[in-house]
Amino acid sequence: MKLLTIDDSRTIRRVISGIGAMLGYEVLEAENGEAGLKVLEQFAHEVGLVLLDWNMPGMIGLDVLKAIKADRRWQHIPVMMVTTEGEKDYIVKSIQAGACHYQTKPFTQEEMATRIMEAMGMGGV
Amino acid sequence: MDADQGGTVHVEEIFNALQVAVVDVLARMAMTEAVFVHREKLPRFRLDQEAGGMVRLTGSQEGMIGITSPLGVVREIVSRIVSLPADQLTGEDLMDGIAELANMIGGGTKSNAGLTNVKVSTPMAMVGKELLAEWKTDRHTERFVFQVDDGVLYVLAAL
Amino acid sequence: MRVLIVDDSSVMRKIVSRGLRQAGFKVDDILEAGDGQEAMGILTADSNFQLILSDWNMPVMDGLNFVKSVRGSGGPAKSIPIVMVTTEGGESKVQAAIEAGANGHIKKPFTPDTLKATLGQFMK
Repeated sequence: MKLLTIDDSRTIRRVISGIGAMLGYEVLEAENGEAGLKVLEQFAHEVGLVLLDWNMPGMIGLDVLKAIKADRRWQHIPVMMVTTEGEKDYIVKSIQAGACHYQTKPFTQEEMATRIMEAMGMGGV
Repeated sequence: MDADQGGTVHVEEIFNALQVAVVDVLARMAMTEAVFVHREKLPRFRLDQEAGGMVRLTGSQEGMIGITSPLGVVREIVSRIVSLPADQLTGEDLMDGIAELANMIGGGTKSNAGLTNVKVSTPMAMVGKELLAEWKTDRHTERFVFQVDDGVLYVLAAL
Repeated sequence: MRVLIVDDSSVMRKIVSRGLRQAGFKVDDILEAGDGQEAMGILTADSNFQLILSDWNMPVMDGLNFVKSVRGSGGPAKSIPIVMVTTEGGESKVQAAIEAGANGHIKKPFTPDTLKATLGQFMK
């Protein structure tokens, strides 16, 4: 099972890849929404979770989320928003659009690892 | 969104929110302590052998928030964040790292201060050798000095 | 029952601890060590563990050498079951660990169900 991080920051992609690897997942990376959807075209059956940034050049995270949830091929894949936006309004919009988890930046390794485990259905709070 | 809710926040409260954000970002992402040393007013600043990152605030509170630090310190902080040896980081890694730090500090400030109607821009980063960087603002720039490990991290806010 | 978790990542040690509790095991006490050598130090002073969970790649003393050290020691810790926690592609390593005296392995990523299935036999 693979994870997919879509974030324009390579720093954040690396952090998420490191945490994913520690948990035993291979992590695919995309630097924008369009590239992320292309990765899904190729790996839809293997991706178990998408970790999605909100503020990106090009397609913003919310539009990427909507695009994922609108396509039958991968609308079943859970999406976690990973963003500096901590406001209720953003969280509500994400949940309404189909995100299953919401993680604000900054995060500790433990917070992100725990959140990934939860999103992958491995235990509750 | 509630109208004008973010417009009533006093600048000093935003400065406090900014300081909390700096400490929080460094603690969570880099597992290191940022200790506030002092603050000073600054008409302009020069980047020399330093890297900087900034975000712009628009909406009910306009302004800029940025960070600058000697390259060695940036290298150390980014190395801690991505868990890679400092000597393996490329210039592009450092640029991205400091941009992302500015992004998280800007975003954290917005959250901590409850600036609901403020938009934080995507970050920009710069590395300077005698690059004179001037804030395009008529507001005063406040510089907060933090000690991070053995280095100094400057946090700038023009609000 | 008491469990010793050996992993150089403090985050991973917490995740494994949490996983054990979520799997429903009645764990009274969990001790942690950052590498094999530290774990040997703990075991020399206190051998009252019903299970040891060990990572593979660790500084100072890795998982394989840790298994060898425990099994080679003359003390009461010698017979505590050891289960290795490995990542994908570690099949040959697992074989080496079993030959050295490990009792089983858990492949990451694991779920509370995986833990339950693999560790049930040791957690009586």
